Amino acid sequence: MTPIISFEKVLKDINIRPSIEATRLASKFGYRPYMVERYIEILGLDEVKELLEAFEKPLTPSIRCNTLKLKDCDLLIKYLESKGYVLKRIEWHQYGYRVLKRGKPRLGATREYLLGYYYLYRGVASQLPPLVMNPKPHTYVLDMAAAPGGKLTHIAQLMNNTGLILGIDISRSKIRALRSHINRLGVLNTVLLRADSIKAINSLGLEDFFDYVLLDAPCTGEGIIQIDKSRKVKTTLEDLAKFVTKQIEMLVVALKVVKPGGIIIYSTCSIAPEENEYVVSKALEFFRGEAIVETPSNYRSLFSQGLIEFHKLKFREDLKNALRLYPHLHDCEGFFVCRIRRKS
Amino acid sequence: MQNKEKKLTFKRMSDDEVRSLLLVMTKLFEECVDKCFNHSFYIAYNEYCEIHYAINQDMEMLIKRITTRYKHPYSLGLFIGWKRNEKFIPTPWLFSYVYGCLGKIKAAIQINEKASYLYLYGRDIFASSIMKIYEPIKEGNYVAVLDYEGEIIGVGLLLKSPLKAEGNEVVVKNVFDMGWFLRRGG
Repeated sequence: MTPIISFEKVLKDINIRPSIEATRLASKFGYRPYMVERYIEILGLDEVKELLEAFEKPLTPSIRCNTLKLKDCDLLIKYLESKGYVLKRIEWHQYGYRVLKRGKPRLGATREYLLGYYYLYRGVASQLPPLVMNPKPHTYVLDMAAAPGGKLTHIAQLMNNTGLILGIDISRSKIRALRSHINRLGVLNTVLLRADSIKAINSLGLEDFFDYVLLDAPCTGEGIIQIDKSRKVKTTLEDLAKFVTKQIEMLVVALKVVKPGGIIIYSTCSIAPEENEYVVSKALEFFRGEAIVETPSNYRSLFSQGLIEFHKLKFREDLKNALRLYPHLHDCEGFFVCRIRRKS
Repeated sequence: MQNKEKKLTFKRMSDDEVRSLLLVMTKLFEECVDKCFNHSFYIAYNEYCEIHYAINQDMEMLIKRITTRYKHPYSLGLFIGWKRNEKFIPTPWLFSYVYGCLGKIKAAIQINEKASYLYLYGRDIFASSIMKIYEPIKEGNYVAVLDYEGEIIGVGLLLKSPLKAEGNEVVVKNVFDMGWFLRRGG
């Protein structure tokens, strides 16, 4: 099959030459210079220092109260407070909480965890994509990179266990964890496949089948430097181009399997424009404008806008409707969420 | 549980197999539970085990497509139980689902706080730890184990009626407990 876009073309498009200032800052904070150069292009020099300092601080974990198992989330808070935890509701989330102080036992070992009263996240941003998707009950959902399952189980909660979720993931160990979470959290409406999602979807012939698709794409993880410092240096521009090529390919598949009028959520735990706005632009270009980027208005004022230009690249105007989350502005991991509606 | 997952093959249960499964459940709860299951039932099996699932109608079409065009799913719907030595072992999720459907608790024992925590570490249950019995319970049958607040924390095998046993006698053998998620569940 002819690739949608060649690796060489992507590599040429995303090439960036670091400035002296970027190189100096990269050396000080231990990054690859090209990464810092692009942060400067997006945020400006002063704000970049704030971003790099925020990446040095620990990430605040969060939990999601699982209303499939527990109707009264106040009860969960009471249980956890009695164990020494201090929780604060996430300002944009009715049943998500930041963990401000830890108690004992650890959050992955409490009675309440084992009973499925909550899901534990390393940061807060991962709770956003299902909320932006906002799936209706009795609909069909595809999660193209489903494990370990924070988003898939959240979607099941929003659908009140009705309809159908097809979750696909290639990783043997991660899908095992996902199956455990599904059982623990009382999720009943899910079919799991351990497979390469593009190959599986093409074999199954699922064109125009799903009302919603979540593509939380495999990415460089540049937004979670707080918990994995190796990500400051591990991705070369060639590695990045490989990720981007794959992400575009996956998003095009997502566009094919969603029904006309259906919704795709594209998200990554990365603030790299190459993995986000560039990917969405290229995939939608391939789809010849039959989809638009939109965002529920209640989230637009809370987060930063998507980019419509970066370095020498120009993106679609409607990409300003995408959401960017930055550690220094939003007290979370770096994240990108984009809601795409396929035209009817 | 579910650890020998190599070469699992999925198949839809035949009408006879469904009837037989529903009969096992009816015996367990001493009440007909057919009305709770507007579902199809699937079996995942290999040479070591047999795992049973119930799926809703929305899932049926997709599963048919997966099993005919692609390969076998990894997991589906409600995990209701597994078979060992030809005996059906119900999961906590089956008990939970049936309780929701019937609107009452049956075939269960409730244990005190100390025993609840020990059960989550894989321990068995002494007669003296039992706070309440929800009939029907029968020696040799499986029971849901409820913790001190009434939440299902596992499934046990009733070895002896608590009413006939001494306080320090083990009456329920731990078959599965939610602590599994901590010890092995990922």
